[in-house]
Amino acid sequence: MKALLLIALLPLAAKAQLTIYAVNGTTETSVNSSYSFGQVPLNTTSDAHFRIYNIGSAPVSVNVTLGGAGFTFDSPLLPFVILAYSAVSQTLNITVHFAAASTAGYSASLQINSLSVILLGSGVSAPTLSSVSGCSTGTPFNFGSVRAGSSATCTFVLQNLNPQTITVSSIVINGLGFTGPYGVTAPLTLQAGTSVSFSVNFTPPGAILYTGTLVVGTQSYALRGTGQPPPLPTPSLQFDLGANASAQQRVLTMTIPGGSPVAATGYVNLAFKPSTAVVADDSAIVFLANGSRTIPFSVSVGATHALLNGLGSAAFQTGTTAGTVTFTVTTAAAMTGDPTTPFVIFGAPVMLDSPPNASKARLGWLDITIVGADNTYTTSLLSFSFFDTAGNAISSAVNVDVALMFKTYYATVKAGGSSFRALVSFPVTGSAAAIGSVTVTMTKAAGPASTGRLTFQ
Amino acid sequence: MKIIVAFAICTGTWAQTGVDRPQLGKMLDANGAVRTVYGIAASVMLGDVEMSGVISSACSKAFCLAKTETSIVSAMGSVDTPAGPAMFAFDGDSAFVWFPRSRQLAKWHDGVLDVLDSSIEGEVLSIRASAGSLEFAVRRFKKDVWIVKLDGGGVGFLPHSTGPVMLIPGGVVYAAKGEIAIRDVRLPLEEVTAFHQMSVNYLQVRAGGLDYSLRIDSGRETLFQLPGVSQ
Repeated sequence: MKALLLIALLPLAAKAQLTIYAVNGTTETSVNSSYSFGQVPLNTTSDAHFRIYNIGSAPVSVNVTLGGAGFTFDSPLLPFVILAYSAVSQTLNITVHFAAASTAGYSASLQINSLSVILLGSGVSAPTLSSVSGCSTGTPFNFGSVRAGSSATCTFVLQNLNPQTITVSSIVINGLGFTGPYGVTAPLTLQAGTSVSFSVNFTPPGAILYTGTLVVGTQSYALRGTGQPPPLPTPSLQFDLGANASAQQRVLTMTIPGGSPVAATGYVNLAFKPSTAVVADDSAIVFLANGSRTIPFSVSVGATHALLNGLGSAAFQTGTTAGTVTFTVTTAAAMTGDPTTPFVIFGAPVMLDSPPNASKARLGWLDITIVGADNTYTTSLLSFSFFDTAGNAISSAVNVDVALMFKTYYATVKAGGSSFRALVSFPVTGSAAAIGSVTVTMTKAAGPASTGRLTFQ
Repeated sequence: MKIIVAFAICTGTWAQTGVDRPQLGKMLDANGAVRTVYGIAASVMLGDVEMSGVISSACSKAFCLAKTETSIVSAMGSVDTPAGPAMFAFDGDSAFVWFPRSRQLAKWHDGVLDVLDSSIEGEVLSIRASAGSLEFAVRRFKKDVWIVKLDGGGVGFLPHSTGPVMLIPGGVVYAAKGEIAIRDVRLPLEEVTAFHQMSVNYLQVRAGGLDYSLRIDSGRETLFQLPGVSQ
């Protein structure tokens, strides 16, 4: 009789040995007779993890069955023996999956030996997420290119299109560079037909592509954004000391105020606009390093000086035409401010390149050769004053109109600059022995230029 | 007085004028091409390639000579020569030519090359025809530079020359430590490796991989850079 009583009590003792907990991360919550999955969006799966302990003094062999549409489970091989007074590592862990196929209520019976738990859940349409501003409208939600260290904000709207109230258990942002959500706190309840807006920030630490996720309940949405290098401060172009003028070789340097926050490469280009309409350009205005109007530059992180064509400076010619040389820095990197620097060349009297030559070697002629440049292209008159060998003036000054000659010449050389080699020859009747010297004055709007006294050779 | 009066009448009536592009001379670019240099000092443009494959060149007031590996080319045509570079000393319509690789002296005239006897000792750096005689700048004992005549007689001495030397009419241009010396003028320039005679008035200076032009007119000595060409 005593033995029969023990046998009769065993099932009760065995039942009392098992306890079941729902596990969420490191948190265990005791489960009694039922467990609710809550609202689960259609076509998604919600998982619940359960842990079964044996708190009795004897091992228990455990079987698990699950009955009910929409619910499935995973477990170790069954039956599973749980040792007495089981520690966490000795428990039976099962995962129940709930996937709703329609907007309806669902239930199932989870049977663990004699332990019975009713599982509940309902299928709802997932809240609709859309971006309002600050990122692309489709997934992945793309924040585009954002300078490293700067922020871009994307505003989202979460809308409940269900005829019933839904609960959004969580809104979580994952991924380096992405933060939020801002303006909303989960869990939150959305009445039928209502919506809530919130924002997500993208702050790229560096200049690379970033990806992340926005998880709304069980729905996951991809986030994307590209970090752009910080902008290059407006480069400062400096010229060596000296008044700007034609027929110079000047030196250009390029500095980055405060140092460059990024490594950058690009080009320094020069363009020329003459102040005269006589010519459209002056081809002598070039960088000397390569004879062109473009030189490459490079600057390293932290550097205050850029390398121009690999060197600390670049020389350029100012040509022989008055006008404005505009230097422009171009780079693929972002750059702040105005990248152009003007270099103005003003009009000047005729520049004599070398001492003019006065010769009477050719029998019957006085030949006067003048090499120079007229950067305004306006020379119109040459005035010659002749002197005898004693230095006395011979008659009055002789004026020669050269306007047409120069006009024709400059039309021929086009962008070749205003440099010229002019030969003026005077016929002499009889001996020229008494003619000793000449002074030539070249007249133009910018002022006259005189050769000084030239002695005939 | 009659002459003067006649002259005065002619100036106002029949003065003839002409204008063209000034030329500084011809340079030998880094690609071995000869180009005309147009413009004025410090504002020049390079003309198109006129001849390539040139290793030495020089121009007088009247004509230019270009040395390829095995010939001298002029407006009169080409004449076979010893291999390697050459140095030129213009003398009117002709030119003396020194071939450093074979240590031979010759005279070019009318498109013909005549070999001359010579017994110059030392490394010849430059040659010059002066007042009917020929002078050489020679480095001896890998140190001192002497200016000597064809017969070996000394003319001058350049104690500070450390690089190339170019004998010019009435003077000498040479590279010293970090500078170019011409007469009493010193122009700072590092790494000078060669001089070429662009014209009567200009030398081409090659230094640090770049080309410069040196005006050698007395009292107007100026150094400026020539535009580079793509290589």
